[in-house]
Amino acid sequence: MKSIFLSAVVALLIAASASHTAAQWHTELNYGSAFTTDRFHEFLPSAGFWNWQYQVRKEVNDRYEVGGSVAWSYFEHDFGRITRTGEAIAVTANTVHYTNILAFQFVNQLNLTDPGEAVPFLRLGIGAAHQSQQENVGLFSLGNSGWQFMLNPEAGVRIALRDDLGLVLAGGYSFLPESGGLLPTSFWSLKAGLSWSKF
Amino acid sequence: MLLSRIVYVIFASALLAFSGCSPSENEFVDDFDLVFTSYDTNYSYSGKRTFFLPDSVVIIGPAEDNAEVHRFDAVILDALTRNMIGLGWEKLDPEDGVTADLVMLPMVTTTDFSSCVMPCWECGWGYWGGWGAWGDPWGPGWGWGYPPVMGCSSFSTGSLYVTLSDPNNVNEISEEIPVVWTGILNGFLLGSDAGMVNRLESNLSQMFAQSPYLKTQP
Repeated sequence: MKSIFLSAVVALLIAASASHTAAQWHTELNYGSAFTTDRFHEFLPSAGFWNWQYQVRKEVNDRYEVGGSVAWSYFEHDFGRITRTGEAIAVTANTVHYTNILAFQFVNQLNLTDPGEAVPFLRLGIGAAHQSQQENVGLFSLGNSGWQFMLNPEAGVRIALRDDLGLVLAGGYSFLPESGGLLPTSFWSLKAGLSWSKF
Repeated sequence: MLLSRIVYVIFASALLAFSGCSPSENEFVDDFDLVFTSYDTNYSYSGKRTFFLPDSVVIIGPAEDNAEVHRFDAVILDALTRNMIGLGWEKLDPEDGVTADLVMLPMVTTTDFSSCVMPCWECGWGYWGGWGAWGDPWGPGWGWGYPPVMGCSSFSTGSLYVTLSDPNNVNEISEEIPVVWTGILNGFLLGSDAGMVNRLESNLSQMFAQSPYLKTQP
């Protein structure tokens, strides 16, 4: 299954690369830190420092862009040697939780000002993500993986470095509802990246 | 244009290279030790104060005729006795013609893994009912298995099962002696004998520390 995702990612990148011809396109690569919330925070209390996103957007007009994105997030938390209790059971073991999230989203971006040195924007990503939530307990590993709906509103600003290159700073919230045994997933993220344009 | 292509290559390569991160491997053998206990919530220990313990550990499986695997029997039996007495129990000898309230049975199984294997954990463990800590238990989709880093290697694992049964409460219809408490210690069978003794003693102590309901009632 993983190879299918990777093939899809590579195909998307190639397609995006090949289609940069007709209109103005904005390409962005960003890196961020993510901070888990709610039940996902109980499963993974640590912040995530492996969050990459690549996206390509086509400019519909000066204020509105649409496109797609691929993102990869990894979270891990080492609980150490802990004792956990359930109904009539108790388990003591070194316990590590981790998850990989590979997200594919359609992106809508609304620029709040006309093109300039600093352009604030609102962005909404809607799509699906494949997540693999895993738990290592002593010698054992248990986990679940599958697809989840994903919603990712963001706000940020693009600061022009030169005509076709900009620095992007953004903050957002990601939510993936419970699905197929996967815990509901939610996290805030702060990201920084580069955005370059092609006319 | 060049920058774009470089970024494509870097990003695609990273995805292909990592294809999903995983935690770093544990450093020491005892990092993998696991202590599991469960008990019959309907069973009352009120008035129970005595127990039998055999003079050797039962070995289950292909290693049962191997005298080498019995070299830790004394450590196991001493630790079990010490912990039970610490909780207020009295150990009796069946040869004295007396009857004990409970019978404690320690059993060991070992499993060797080599090359690339896909262990069948459900065969020896059974489905885990679920954790309470996160609200909902894991759904049926959650399955047991070794972490991926252990997929291709050669190692031995062992489990020490300790059960407490009530011989005075036999189900006459099913002809079963009810097991009222189970403790399992699981880990790698690696390291020096001194290291194994330390791990057995500390983990057996943990087995009783996480079973406070075994403490005898005044």
